[in-house]
Amino acid sequence: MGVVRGVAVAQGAALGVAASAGLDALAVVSAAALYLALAGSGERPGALRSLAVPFGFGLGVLALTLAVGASFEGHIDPKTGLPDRPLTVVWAAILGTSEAALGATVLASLRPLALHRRRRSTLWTWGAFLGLTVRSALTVAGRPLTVSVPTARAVFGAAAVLAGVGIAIRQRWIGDLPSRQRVAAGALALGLSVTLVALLAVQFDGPGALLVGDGTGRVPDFPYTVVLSRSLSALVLSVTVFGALYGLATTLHLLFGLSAAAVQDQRAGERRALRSLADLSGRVLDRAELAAAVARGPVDAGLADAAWVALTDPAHGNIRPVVVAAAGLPLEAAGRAADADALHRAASEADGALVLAHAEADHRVRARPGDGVASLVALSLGGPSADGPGGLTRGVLLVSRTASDAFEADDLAALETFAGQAALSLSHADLFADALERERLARELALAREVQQRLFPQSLPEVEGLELAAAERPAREVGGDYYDVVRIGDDCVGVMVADVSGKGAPAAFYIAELKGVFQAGSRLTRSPGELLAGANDALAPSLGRGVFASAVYAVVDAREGTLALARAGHTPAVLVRDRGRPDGGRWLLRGDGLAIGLDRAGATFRQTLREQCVRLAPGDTLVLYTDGLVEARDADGREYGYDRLATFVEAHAHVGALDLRDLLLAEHRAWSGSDEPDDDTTFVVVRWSGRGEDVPPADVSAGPPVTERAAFPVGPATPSPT
Amino acid sequence: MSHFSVSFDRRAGTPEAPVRVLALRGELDAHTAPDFEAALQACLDDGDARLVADGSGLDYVSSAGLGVFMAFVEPARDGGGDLKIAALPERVFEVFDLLGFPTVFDMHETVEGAVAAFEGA
Repeated sequence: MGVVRGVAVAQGAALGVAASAGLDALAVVSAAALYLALAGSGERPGALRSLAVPFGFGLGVLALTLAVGASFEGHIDPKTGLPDRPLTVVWAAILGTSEAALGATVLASLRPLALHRRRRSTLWTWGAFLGLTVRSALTVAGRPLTVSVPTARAVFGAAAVLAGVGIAIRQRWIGDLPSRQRVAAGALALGLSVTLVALLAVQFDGPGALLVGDGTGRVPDFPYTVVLSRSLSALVLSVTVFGALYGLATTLHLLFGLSAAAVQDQRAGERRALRSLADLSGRVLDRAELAAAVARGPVDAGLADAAWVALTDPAHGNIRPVVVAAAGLPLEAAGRAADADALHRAASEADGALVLAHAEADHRVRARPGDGVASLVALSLGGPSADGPGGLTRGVLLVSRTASDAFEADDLAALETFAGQAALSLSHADLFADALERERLARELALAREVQQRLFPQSLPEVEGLELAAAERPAREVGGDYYDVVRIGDDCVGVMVADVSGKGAPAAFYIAELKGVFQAGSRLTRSPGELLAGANDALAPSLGRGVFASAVYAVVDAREGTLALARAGHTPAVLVRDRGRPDGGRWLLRGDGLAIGLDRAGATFRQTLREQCVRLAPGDTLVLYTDGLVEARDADGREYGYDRLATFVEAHAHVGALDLRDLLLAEHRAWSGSDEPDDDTTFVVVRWSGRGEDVPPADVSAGPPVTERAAFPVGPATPSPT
Repeated sequence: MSHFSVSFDRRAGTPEAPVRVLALRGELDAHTAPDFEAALQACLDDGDARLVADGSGLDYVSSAGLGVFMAFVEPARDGGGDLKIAALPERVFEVFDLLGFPTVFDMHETVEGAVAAFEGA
């Protein structure tokens, strides 16, 4: 292009001012395009290369300019702008094009340095500098050399210089320069600065200058570039000045260590962030608190403008990561800013950090330009997938900057270190929580068992004529078995055996409630039916959905030799009577009765309940038990069953209650073939030895020697006395 | 190993007044009760409150399984229907009977009987 203009001028074509201005603009646009092409390669050269390339290029152009100046003296006519001879045009074309290329190279090379750890303000300043430089160059478009420079150029030029100075004094990249490269960088920067200053000097007041006029009188010098385009010349001048300024600033920074403080701050921030996390992981094992610290870390360290943490929570059914903590932006905004799930998966598969230099263009980022998420880094917080051992937390740390392409390699290294540490801390927290949960369950189980054990009577009452023995074999898991025996007056005892459905702590607490009802109720009434109805009234409202309890309650009067019994859905009591008597035999006492909790209103419970009464004979043995005893299975899977139980009790009743209990325990253990039953097993043996008197035989031809009656008879109410 | 399944794709009754029949198989215990619960809940969510539990395939029922019946009979009745229990094998029926379920639940020897009881109602 420059050549075209040169040729056009050389041919002496009569160009109008407009055409001339157009060509100037074209020259500026061409130079800008060259810059954009060089800068847009996306390559990230090291700092040394960023300085060496323009330095080398500058030296070449300087040498060329000097060589041309030494062997040749070009002139142009200031009025026409036309060179004196064709060779001038040729040299001008060559020098001008190479200077334009140098300008573009200087800008493109220094750009990564100037924009290092960019912030929005840095980008803005850089853009302002470029814009003002171009604008300033365009003010002279189409103007012959004789026309003086317009004021606008001075204004735009000064503003461009200010922007350039603003860029030059910000030398943050130096901080990340390895110390052994500092001397080389200083030398290159100084070389660049000196070369560019020399180039300016040579062009404006030295052998490389183009002479204007006839070579006599007052002769202002111009660079050869003006032959190509006055605007291009202005542009190159501005850029060259900037390059020299930047190189000088770099040299001074390196010389006086001006960046050291800022770098120290940054490094200290990074260290602080890592240390705070290390401290936290030692003490805080709470997921939420830890996640908040992980989000704060990069922001506190100056590594990011905002950071947020999304975690899976398999323990609570969250397999997809959910944003749980954010720093630098509200939690809600963080949740909306990006597709944490997709980024979590991508980051898990990425080797190291997943960098989205232009985040707003990524389909996984929902933030729009202006939301402050222009570049984003996703760092996996452990684990490729959610199916890791023990349902451990997985997640992603998302870190953003308000400028695009703002993360440098060492930022990423620091962030990766940080994320690695964070993942470790989170997994520790998980393990701790896991251990805590297991410990809690174990403690709860132990507590429930202790509660259950304390609810069993510590001793059985001693009543003349009555033998009592009880046994309970708890299963591995705490079940809902309960038994209790209370003395009622001098001669009576109340015996309860119950089984609450469900296991663990809830069952233990229902038992505690049942014990309260039993202890209080047995003192208030001698009617088993009334006591069970009271228990249903008291317990039904507090039993959980689908929870019920079965119970059997017997009141034995040792003096009268009577037994009254009621059953609330419980396993039938076994009664055996000496076969030596004419009314001897074995029976299962199974009066009607609903389990507690089945009828929560209570009316049906009362209506259904039957009380059974037995006139006892000496030696009569009653066994109340829970289903664990009859449902025990042998190696072939056969249930022990009611028949075997009743037969066994009948066969051994004569040995007395205590011995019968021991025999029954041994029998149960032998049948199930295990020391630890599958289910709680509880039973109480009551044996009435009598008080010497004869008891006439009962008629047992039609069944057990039982009289049965409704616990709550319905019928015409007894007329009250008037 | 406890095997349990509940299928509830069978419909009976009339189109205007359908009855859902849930066929239970295997062992209904603390581990499998949630499946049964989910099936019942699904029926109620569908607006079907006229339910028959066909227990002919049941081998065993634990207190946790019984609890499911207890928990769902009231919602079914509140929804204008009922949860009827049908065709329990003798050994399983014995467990229900001991606790007094026949007093509170409408229990039938056959599924057809249970469905017919809805139509008669």
